[in-house]
Amino acid sequence: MTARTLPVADATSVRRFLRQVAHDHRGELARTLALYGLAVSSGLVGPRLLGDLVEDVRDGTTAGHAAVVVSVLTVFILLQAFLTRAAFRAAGRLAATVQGEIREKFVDDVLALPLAVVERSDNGDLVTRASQDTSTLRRALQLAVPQVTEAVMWIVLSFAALLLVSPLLSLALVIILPPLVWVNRWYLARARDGFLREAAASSGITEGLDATIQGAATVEAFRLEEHRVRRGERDTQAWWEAVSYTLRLRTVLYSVEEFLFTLPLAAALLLGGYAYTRGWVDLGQVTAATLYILQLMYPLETLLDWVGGLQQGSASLARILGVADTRPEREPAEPAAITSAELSTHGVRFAYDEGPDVLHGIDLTVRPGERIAVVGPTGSGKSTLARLLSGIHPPREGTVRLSGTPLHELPSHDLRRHVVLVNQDQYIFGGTLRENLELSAAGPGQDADDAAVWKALETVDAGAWVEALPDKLDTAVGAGGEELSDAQAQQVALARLLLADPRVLVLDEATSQMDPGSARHLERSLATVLEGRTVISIAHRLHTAYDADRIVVMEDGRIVEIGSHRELISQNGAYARLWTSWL
Amino acid sequence: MQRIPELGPEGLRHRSAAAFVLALIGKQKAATAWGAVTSTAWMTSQAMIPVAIGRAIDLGIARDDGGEVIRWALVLLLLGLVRAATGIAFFRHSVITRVVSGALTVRMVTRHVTRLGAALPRRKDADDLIATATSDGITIGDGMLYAGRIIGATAAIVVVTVAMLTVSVPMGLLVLVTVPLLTGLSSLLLRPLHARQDEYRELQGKLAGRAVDIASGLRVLRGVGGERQFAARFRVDSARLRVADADVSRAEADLEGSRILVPGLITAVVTTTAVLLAVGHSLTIGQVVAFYGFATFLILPLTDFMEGMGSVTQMLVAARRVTRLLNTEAREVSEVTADVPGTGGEAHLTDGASGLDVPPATFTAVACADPGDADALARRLAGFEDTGDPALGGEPLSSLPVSVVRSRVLLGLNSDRFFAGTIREELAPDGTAGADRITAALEIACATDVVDALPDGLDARMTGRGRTFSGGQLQRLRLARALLADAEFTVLVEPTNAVDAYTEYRVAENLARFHDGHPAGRSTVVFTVSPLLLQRADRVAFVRDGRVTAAGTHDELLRSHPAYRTLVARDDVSQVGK
Repeated sequence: MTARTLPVADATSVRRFLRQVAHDHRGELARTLALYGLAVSSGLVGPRLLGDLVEDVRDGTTAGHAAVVVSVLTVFILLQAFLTRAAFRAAGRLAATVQGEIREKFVDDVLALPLAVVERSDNGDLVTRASQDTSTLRRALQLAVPQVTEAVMWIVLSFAALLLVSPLLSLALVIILPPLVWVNRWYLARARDGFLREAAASSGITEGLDATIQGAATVEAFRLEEHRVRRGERDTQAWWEAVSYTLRLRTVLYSVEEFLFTLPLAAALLLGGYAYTRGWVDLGQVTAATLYILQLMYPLETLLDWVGGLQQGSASLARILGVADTRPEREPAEPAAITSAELSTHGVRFAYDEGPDVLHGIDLTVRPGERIAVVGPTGSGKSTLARLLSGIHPPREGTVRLSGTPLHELPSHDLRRHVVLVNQDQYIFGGTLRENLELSAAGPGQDADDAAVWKALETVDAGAWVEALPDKLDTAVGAGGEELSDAQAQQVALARLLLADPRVLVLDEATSQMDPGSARHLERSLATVLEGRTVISIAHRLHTAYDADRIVVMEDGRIVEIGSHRELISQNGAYARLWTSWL
Repeated sequence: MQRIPELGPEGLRHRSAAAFVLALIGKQKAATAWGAVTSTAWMTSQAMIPVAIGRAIDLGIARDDGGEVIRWALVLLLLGLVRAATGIAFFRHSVITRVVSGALTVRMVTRHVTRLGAALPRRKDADDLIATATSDGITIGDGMLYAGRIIGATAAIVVVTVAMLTVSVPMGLLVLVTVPLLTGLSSLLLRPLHARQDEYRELQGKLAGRAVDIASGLRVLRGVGGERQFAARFRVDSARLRVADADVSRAEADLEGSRILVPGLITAVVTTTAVLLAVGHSLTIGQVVAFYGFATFLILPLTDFMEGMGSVTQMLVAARRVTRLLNTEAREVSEVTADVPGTGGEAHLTDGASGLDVPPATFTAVACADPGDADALARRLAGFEDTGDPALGGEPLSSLPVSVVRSRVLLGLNSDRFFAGTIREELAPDGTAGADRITAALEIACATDVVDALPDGLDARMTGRGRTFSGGQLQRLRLARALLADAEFTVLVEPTNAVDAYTEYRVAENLARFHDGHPAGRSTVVFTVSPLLLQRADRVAFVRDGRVTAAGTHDELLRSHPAYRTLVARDDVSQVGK
């Protein structure tokens, strides 16, 4: 199995998503845009009034008249400030809502990822999407989008105002449009990849440093100091190179744009001067037009500042949405009635991706309440069988049925009410210990009573250390809370399993992190509690096998022996050899 | 391709935050000077644009003088060119400074963390450290970027002041009083914003934690079907975050409003006065326009100045965190490793407190009745603890340089991790071992099949935590890596507890055969209770209550020590289930 990264949504689906969002919130969106329009319009009154005033002053006017005009100007400025604030508030509210929706959709998408995809994807990728990409997106939604909206509005309306003042003088602005459009297209065509590379390089640094910190003990023991330092140098150099590329792109864009900003000013003066001498325009018009163009410098700067932010935001959005771009795992089906815990496989063959088959025709029927141990050398297909029996992967050929219903026809949530898998990977979720114990599809969920929780903890030998925690069951654990050891995490996983109390339990080396003595003790107490449940254990410790009703011995993806400990010992085959070597 | 400046062996000075920032600047002296120059030229040329417009109106347009109009339009164009060119130069400089400063900080932190080594995870604030190390580099870079802008902004403010006072003293004074006053007032709005942002960040951190949880714990979650409960909890938190988010944006909106209001009010005050003066003919129309332009322009350097001060403050805070980390005492990582006093495999590795004695060139196993003892004893033997009087060749470990101890005694734990890289690199970093040695080590560790199953073999890449391998596969790779490290004493704790009995048996066999070949005085010490390993060891030490209570071969101990038998023998399974 090789690690995969999850897909990234293409530009079309990002656009489709944005259109959908715009449609869903069209009311708020329209309101926000209207507020921006009004705010900017009030800002555009200033130059016009000033232009008229210049004309009046030139023709001779009274201080009283000037004072009135300036008061009107001030009122509009206040209005503009107030409207801008209102517009930003509306935009902020909208952004918070949209961001919340995206965040929740992301979590839903992740939770619905086909298990087969989860099993082989590198979780670093998902972590980056969950943390870095969502915060980049927030920056884009809360800051870049409103700023850019305002700037675009400002540019469009300034142009309209300019047309009103003097269509002739607006030509000064028109001349810069073609090169402006061209350079932006040139830039946008290249920027996305550049920024994606930059983001990848910067998460490379984080990963490298994170590994150095987390593995500091290993670094010291294996004397990897120089090696890690060099890795840090390589990562930072790679970041530098990625930034250099986007910097080159931005240099071209900014050079052209910065120059283009001044060009219309000079053009307006030249054109204005000429038109004025010809009597086509008056001084007030020239002043107003020049001021409009001068004022445009700020929204254009804003646009430049935030285009990068929008780019990064859309790259992040593409990565967040990309999670949903995996085929739906199973067709939603009618929840079938699961009446018994009989689990059976018939002619099951399986291969990872396009690889060779790793299971070659497995036929196995596990009777309700039976305890099965699967043993065999590494690579014989034990864990793969566990994954198939718990419905993580559908078989390539053949069927796996629970109470007669093929597992892949059961909706995931229903399936987990009956069949639960615990493997050697353990993880403690941030939250209280109780919350961690209650996470499961089956069982009492949020309503587990204390007595049941404590009983489960006692059974997995975790009672003592939980008792010693500062807030007992309500102690915060996981990220930001008490740190639990790997062995404790496995105990939590098993206690969770006991609370869930499903019909079928698949345990894939679920006690591997414990020392052998404790593991043995725990498994014995589990066995008593799980009386009557169907238990399939994959284990390399043979006392698990000894306890089982039947032992399945696997070699090279096939079942070579099946029977009780006694039967297999007397057969004197593979299991018997294993048993003697182990003792 | 330009390169990031080398750190040099002594690195950057870091006695204090200021010293560290100065050292960063010191690494980029020419660039810093260039940044100050370009930033000043950029801001100044922009400040002069209103003057040119005013002149064009007064001297040209108002007087119907086409020549003057053209002249001032050209001046304007020239200013625009200078502004564009210096603006770009400064922009490039600031991006480069940001990256270089960030990169140098990351390199310093990396170097220091490797020196802290095993002492690091025991620091309570290890989590903070990761956040610190990655984001502080960027914060410092941002601060450096703004340092240049502050210089430019100051220059521009000075130039505009002089220009205004030259045109009209009362007007100039008016602008000089109103602009800083109103801008200062608007900065008061930053305080509630920051408070809200802190609150938001806290919630956001919590939610990001949940999102990371789901990414890391997804396998577990889906194995038990806890998705709905998880999603429900996430939604509750997410709803609270939405509220906090809207609060932040309200505060941000206040700031945006003031961003319009303050310059607007300044413009109103300045324009009113200018127009009144113009009505009284003490100011020309062009000068009115110029003052309007000055007033609107001045906001830019002033906000830059204030934002810049904020960023510089944050930079110092970040630099303080970084220097605090850099100033934690680290062990010496020196090149002494080259001249380790050679013993040619004659030294014993001993632990005074427990009485454990590991002779040279042996395969020794240690069975501890209490699993906690195994860990402590192994750490002591490898010189990771200062207690227990461990010694190498009679020399107390504490008296030997740490680097000497590390090069002669290797501690391999199951918590050891891999780093993202090719398998070859992970097993033998920097080509310390050739392909034949790697193959041999993989064979001993029974890990040949793990590598063979990969499409690129040794050149396949593995992820940081080796997620794509099973626990047993990782353990075998770890064993191969430990063997390749080629230490005089290789101390391993339960190196086979995640592999199946078949493989464990083969590993034990291989290790024994390896030692039968007397490999250049090397010893392997295995802490285990697995009979498969114990029975193949040359010698077994049985530890109870922290002391070696018996030593001999596995079979001898089985016969003579019932307590040992209870600990390691598996025949008691016959009692289970009866």
